[in-house]
Amino acid sequence: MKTLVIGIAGTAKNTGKTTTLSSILKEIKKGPGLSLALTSIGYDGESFDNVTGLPKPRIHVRPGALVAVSERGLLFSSAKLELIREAGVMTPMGKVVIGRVVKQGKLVLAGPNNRRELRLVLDQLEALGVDITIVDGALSRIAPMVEADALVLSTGASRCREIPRLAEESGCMADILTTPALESRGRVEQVASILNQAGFNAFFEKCLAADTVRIQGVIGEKLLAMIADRSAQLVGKHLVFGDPMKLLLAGEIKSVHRILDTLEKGGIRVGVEKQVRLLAVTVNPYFPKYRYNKGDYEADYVDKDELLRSITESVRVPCFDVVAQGGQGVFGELMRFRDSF
Amino acid sequence: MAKKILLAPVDPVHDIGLKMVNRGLREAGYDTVLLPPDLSTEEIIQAIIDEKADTAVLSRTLGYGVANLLARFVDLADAAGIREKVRIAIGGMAVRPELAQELGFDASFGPGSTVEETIAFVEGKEFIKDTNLSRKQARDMTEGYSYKVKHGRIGELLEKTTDMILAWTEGKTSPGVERAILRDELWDVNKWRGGQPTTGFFSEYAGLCDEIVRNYYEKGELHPKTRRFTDKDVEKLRAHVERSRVDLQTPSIQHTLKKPIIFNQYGTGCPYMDIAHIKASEAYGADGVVHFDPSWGARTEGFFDGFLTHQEDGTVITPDNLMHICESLEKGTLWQVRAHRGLNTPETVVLAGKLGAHLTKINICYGSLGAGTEPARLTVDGVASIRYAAKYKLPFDVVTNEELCGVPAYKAFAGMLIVAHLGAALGGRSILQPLFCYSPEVMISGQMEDNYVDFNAAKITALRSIMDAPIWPGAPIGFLTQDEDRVQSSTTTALHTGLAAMLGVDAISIASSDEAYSGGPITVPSKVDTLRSAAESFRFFGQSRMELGRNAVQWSEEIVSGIESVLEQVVEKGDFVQALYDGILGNREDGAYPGRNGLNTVTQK
Repeated sequence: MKTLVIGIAGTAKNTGKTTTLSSILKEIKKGPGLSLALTSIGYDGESFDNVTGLPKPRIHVRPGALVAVSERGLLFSSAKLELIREAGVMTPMGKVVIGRVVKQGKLVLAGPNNRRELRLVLDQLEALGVDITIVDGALSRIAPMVEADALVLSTGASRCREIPRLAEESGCMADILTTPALESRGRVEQVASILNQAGFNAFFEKCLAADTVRIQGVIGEKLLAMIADRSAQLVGKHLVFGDPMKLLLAGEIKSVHRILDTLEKGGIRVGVEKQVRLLAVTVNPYFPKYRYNKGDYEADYVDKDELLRSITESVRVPCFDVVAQGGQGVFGELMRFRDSF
Repeated sequence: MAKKILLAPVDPVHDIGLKMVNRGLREAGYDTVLLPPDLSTEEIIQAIIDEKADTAVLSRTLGYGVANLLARFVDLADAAGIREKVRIAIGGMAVRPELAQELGFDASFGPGSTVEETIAFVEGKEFIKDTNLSRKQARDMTEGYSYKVKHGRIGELLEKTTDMILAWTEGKTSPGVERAILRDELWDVNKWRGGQPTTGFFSEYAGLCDEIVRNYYEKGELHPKTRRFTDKDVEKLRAHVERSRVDLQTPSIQHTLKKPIIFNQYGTGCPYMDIAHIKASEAYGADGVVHFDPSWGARTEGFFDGFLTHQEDGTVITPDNLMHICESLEKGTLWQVRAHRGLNTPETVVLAGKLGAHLTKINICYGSLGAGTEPARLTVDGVASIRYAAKYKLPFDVVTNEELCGVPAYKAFAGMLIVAHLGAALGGRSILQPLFCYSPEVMISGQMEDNYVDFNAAKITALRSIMDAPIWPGAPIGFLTQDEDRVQSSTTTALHTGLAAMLGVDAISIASSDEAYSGGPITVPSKVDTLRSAAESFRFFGQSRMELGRNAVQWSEEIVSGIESVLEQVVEKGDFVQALYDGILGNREDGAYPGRNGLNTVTQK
């Protein structure tokens, strides 16, 4: 069976990516003997946060799991590996190596940190025959996650302490992430990225001449808004982006959502070539609060019940607080997806 | 074809670092494009595409919220497809590999990065640091000194005093000397390192120790304020040292000078914590470290054994403790194990010599008058210690800490010169260590009412006019000028460092910025404070020199004549030990009290 790749993406630092990962690992440990591989596009499992200095959740790995990690991360890990191979990927933390855990312990997970190199590593892990590979995210970075088959999105008070605003934004983000696939039709043109006025002009010219324009790269927020401003000239056109991450990266989430809504209402179809399956959203009431009098951070929390309720109401996928509820819910979604995979 | 590199400050203002990298890359023949500051993420990515760059190097002064900005840049570049062909690095003062990894960059260039590192990255090669560039060589500060006495009369007096001491100690011994002989002759350090039994040594050794130490060897009882490290502790310590070494560089902090070399002390009680402190000191440029042992160690006959931590100040001297500390040191770090004041003085020198120390510390006069050891005992032990220091090729400093008790500099210096001259006569290499601080003498007499410069300069000048020997003021410099404010404390350290550098001394010891007021173990940040402040002082003054003021010249002359007068009295007394008892080298009024530890323990061989 093909390896299922699950990405855990966050909306910010400290939104609970690693805690979500650990809750899934606990369920896998209890569960039906799935073989597992782990990697990260960031730097996870450190004792203390690089910015706030507050304690961070550690990643505990058990014998048998495959991991793709940087050599330097291993220096700070108590888990011991049997090295299988070098992955051919260099990071600021040194070479990425693939190994099998032979002694359980804490692991500092730092792996391939861009899309191309993540693909290289995922292919190697698949060749070693694992059932599930989990890719831990970094900050709010999302681009490499296009290589995952499905995503879990972690959000919380660290992204925004105002629950109604966070809920609204989470809804927008989930909507964008689940942008439907769209077939090209009629005459097809394609452009790379649209990052300045010249790029926009070239794109617009092609739009006028074609039925479908495939945008392979990214687009800036102002330029996306310019398409909406001229939507009357583009009625009936299909705009096909490479994947939903490219839309998320266009700019501020709610603005992008609003612009996409305007385009749809204006009769322009927007879709993606490669869809992403959003399995669940996890929420985290924790946030690091800056203490102006001491110049450091302390842990603080928003109301966890209100947070879970509000986000659940605003997103169209299941939502969990893995600290309060455990990982069964997220893992259940993952297994259901695997069955249909 | 030369690779094309685009350099872009992701910053509204700062781009000086990139300009320097740009210059280096151009000189190395690369085709570069340097973008101006204050461009948007989209504009920079478009420029990378338009310029068909192979590599992009960004820089950013990190601040609040910058991580998200950079993360978006990386994501946008990834989603735009340019990371398939273009490798992107980030540089900046707060950039570390962990952060660059988290943000998604291919490489990071933090403080101290070189153009060579950037070139290696551009070429896709692994950068191998030239460790020779950052590796210090342990330097012998006594090299080139003749120990000739330049002052005629003082030279004659020192000759007589040396003869007097050697004659007096001839045929005498003490438990401390006997333990040193055992440690020297029967304790095979190589066997011990190999874990082989040294039972023959211990059976004789225990009988020469105080009850508390004897109980350890005979009944296995540890000192009540110590505990043995567990195997797990040792494993963690080794891992800590190994991790510390991954990125450790040992920078030179003297800027364009070669001296003074900088010493930092350690002695928290816990060798593990000491080692962490030492690694921090090395990383911030300390050239050497000094071992401080507990005060009860100086009053107790004999050493314990094993890898022990101590719940109070001062790290217990045991072979295991010294070995673990020695193993943690970088090759170029000078290591001093002090032996100057107590009942274990000669054995400390032997242990230090066998376990790889570079330096020790011996002063009969201070140990007898300010540190509680009985003068006759420390005279016998001191002579033996100097002989061992010569045997193990350990230069030793002669510290005049009795100045801190209130003994005037000229008296303390007379004692220091006696020991230094004795050292030279016995084949040893001594280092003069005058206090370089706000001593009780000047508080009373007023030589520092206006400034801290003239009297300190006078002391160095006086010593230099008498003997051709290295000078290592301390210990630490600026003592008693520092208060509980870390900025104040660092500033005064920097100023004393500058003065010492301008006077051309060979070494200095600096305190941490919380040393006098820590109320417990000193902290690593406060060590870093003063090492950084010393480095800034070196940078500020460079090779500039000072001229002695009128007061400095006058006080220097007064110190020299004071020393001469003290030595005349010692020679007139005809008995060095009695001279110590009689207060010639510092009396009760000065604050010097002949010690009582080891009373009546000197015997004929």
